[in-house]
Amino acid sequence: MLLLVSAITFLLVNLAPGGPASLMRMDATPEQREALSLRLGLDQPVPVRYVQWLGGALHGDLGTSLGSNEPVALRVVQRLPNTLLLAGVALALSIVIGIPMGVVAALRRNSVPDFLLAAVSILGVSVPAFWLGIILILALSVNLNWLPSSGITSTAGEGGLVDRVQHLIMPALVLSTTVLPYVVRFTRSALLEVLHQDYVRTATSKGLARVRVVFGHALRNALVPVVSIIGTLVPRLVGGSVVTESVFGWPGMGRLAIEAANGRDYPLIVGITVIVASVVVLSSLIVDLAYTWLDPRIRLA
Amino acid sequence: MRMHWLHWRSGAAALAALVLFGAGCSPAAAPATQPAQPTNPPPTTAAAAQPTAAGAAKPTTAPASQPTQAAAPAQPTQPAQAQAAGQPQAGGTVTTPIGADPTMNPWHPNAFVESVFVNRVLFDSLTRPGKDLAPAADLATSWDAAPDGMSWTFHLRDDVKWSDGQPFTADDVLFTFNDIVLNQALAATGKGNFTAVQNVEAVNPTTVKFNLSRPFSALPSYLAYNAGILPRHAFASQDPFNDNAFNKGKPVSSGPFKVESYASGDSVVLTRNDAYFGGKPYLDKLVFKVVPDANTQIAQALSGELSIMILDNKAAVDRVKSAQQVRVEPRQLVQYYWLSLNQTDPRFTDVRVRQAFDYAIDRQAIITAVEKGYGKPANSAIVPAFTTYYDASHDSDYAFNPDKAKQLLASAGWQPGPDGILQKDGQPFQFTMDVGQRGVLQPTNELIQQNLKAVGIQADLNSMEWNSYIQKVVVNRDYTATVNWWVYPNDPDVFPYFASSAAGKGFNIPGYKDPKLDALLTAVQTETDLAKRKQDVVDLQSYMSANLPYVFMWYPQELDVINANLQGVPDLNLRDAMHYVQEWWLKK
Repeated sequence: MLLLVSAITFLLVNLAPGGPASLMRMDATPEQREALSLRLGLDQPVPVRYVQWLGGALHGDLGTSLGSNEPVALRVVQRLPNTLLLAGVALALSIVIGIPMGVVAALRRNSVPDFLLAAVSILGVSVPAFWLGIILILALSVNLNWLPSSGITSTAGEGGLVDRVQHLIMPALVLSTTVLPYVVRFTRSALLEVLHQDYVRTATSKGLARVRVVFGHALRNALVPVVSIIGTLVPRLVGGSVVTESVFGWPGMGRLAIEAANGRDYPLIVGITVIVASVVVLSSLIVDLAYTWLDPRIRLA
Repeated sequence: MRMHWLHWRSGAAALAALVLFGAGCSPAAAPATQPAQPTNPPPTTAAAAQPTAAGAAKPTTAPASQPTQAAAPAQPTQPAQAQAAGQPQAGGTVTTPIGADPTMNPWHPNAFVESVFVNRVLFDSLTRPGKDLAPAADLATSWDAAPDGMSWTFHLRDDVKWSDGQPFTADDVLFTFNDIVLNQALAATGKGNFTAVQNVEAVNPTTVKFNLSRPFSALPSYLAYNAGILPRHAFASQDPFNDNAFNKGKPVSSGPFKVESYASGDSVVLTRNDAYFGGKPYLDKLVFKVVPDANTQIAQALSGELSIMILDNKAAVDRVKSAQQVRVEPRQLVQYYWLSLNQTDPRFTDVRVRQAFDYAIDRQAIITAVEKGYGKPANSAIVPAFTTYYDASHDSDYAFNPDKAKQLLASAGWQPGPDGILQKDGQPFQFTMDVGQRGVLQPTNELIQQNLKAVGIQADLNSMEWNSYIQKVVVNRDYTATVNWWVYPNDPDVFPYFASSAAGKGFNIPGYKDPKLDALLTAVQTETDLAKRKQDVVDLQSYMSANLPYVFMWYPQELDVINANLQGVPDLNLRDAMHYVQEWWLKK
């Protein structure tokens, strides 16, 4: 499957109009472009280049980034942990905040809390991440000076836990707005569906406390569709991270992908795609495993 | 009961959301009136720094009058703030933003605009931009041209040490030019500026001689333009463009600051070089922080995280000016925007048509709209920043005059058609303009489109992503009309952009061919007597202004946002000001 992804991506990027940024400079002469083309191995036909890349990839060598001359694997490894951290925290925030919000909305259906949460959800879906990011930066960094506005740490490489958390709060919050509304709404509707089931009525009529009914029985069943939704939200996080990382100067994969695409850095684009595809496959696997834990009726096939 | 989506409560929720959103979007809250455009990244690919390629020219005689015979080169500017603000104090860190990771090698093909700033601090050149943009001493103390103009000799300092303690010698200059710049296979960036250089030889360890294939008056200025000298010993047998420990790590440098650490995507931290030949710098550290988003840069300048930056998004200027903690200063640039009418299209070969375009387009209105007034209409390629050479009285004045435009078009045979569009021989005056999505080009083209419509010309816009645009328009010359700009070294030698020999594949984008213009360009390129050169530039300026090889648009200004505590920054655009970081200091 990864083979197919890599082949399609390789073909598409190499056929795209434009060329590597180092060739597409206004100050480059035709001789320079030709010489560079030769140096970068771009004079060879696309299938030949793909086979060369594949040969290297199977040995773990994902090629050399055109934009920085460093190995692709190195560039990705430098950035991937940062994005995983950001996306992971954003997802955790969404789950930790979103599921309780969804539960409240379901239990207090059609009342003021439900109404407010619906408004928040609509806001979250509608508000563009870059706008929210800038507003937060203006409010919290410029006007109030509470939080730093970009980067992972204050000085590169150093910075204690507190410093890192300070840098993480705003981007993680902004990124979580891309998935939080979905978590809230799906939890709400999933729980509502479950609350109408026969076994819930049975449990209530048996005299179980409401809390026990909801958290002991209903929620666990409601979470199965919610978990599957979360699985589909992971790619959304990856995409949303592009904008968030740009606004907050977060050195992550999203920004790397945009730079690579703009600069037609073919090996880097293919490398990132392959790795992100792997991450998505992995997250689907984790979601499947989570199913079996949540719902004993589902066994690993 | 289920809530129908048409229920009044969900409508009210949506309304509440809209109201909150609207309140948040009020101008008082947002720093920029336009949302951050995804197509407006701080340039990571080179468009802002476009050095010239010097073309061929006829030899000439006469000794140089640009700093020659050990005459005192132009002094670096005495910063006015220093006198006003008191005595310089030592210490502190200055932070400035860059859009992406730099490559710490000024000749590397991946050295785009962000690298320019870093490399101008790390690596000294033979000359640096001085006051009035004339070349000032840097690694070379003086220079002179041979009587026949076919070589330049530079006398080098003998007290410069590289950051690893090795001495700087003529051999490093030879390595930089003979092994890197002039090496065809390496395709060093900026090599196009030195096509007149055949080789560099060492007369002795502190004197080098540039042997030329034709006279080249602008050489000292070009050596101040992204032309840092690299140390031979640091590269040993390594390919200089594959040496990541140098280019992406800790290079061996000679400048006032050297690399302490580099974190990809985050920053490059430079620390003071106490052994710098120009004296110990005042600042402790200079940090280049990667901040890709223009609005975030503004926010950080206002919060004090950034000490100095270029305000790319001029729409925010009013908000920034009102802040007490920063000052906003306009700077002169060696840059002009132009509209290129492809000369392979017969409609554009008539000079009256080109002039009509210049009259039809309200350049002042464009400057007000996209540059917030920080610019001046341009009628030639000689920029006002060249105070020695530029004289507005030699320009033809193309002040906005649609009626004049219509007259000129009529005299060229264009008559209004039934739908108001001009026609000639049954063909309507209609074409497509390719628009590269970068900077102010999109709104500029839209304004031009309206101006042209008013005189009966229909210009359709084809907006393209920058990389594809370069390939189509610049590499393949597959375009009819397009707006763009040139930035070039601090010298009026503009031969590469206008010469007939540069049409087609070279930097003569319109493909304009005119032997008379070639002669004028060559005179400026080869004349070494200053007084005669001034006259040559005047003649060139008049001729190109009258004949409009490009339809000249405007000279932009750069707006620098500087923290109130930062002193000692000279009145130069930020790239040139980087050559003086050893004079910058922070008021405590």
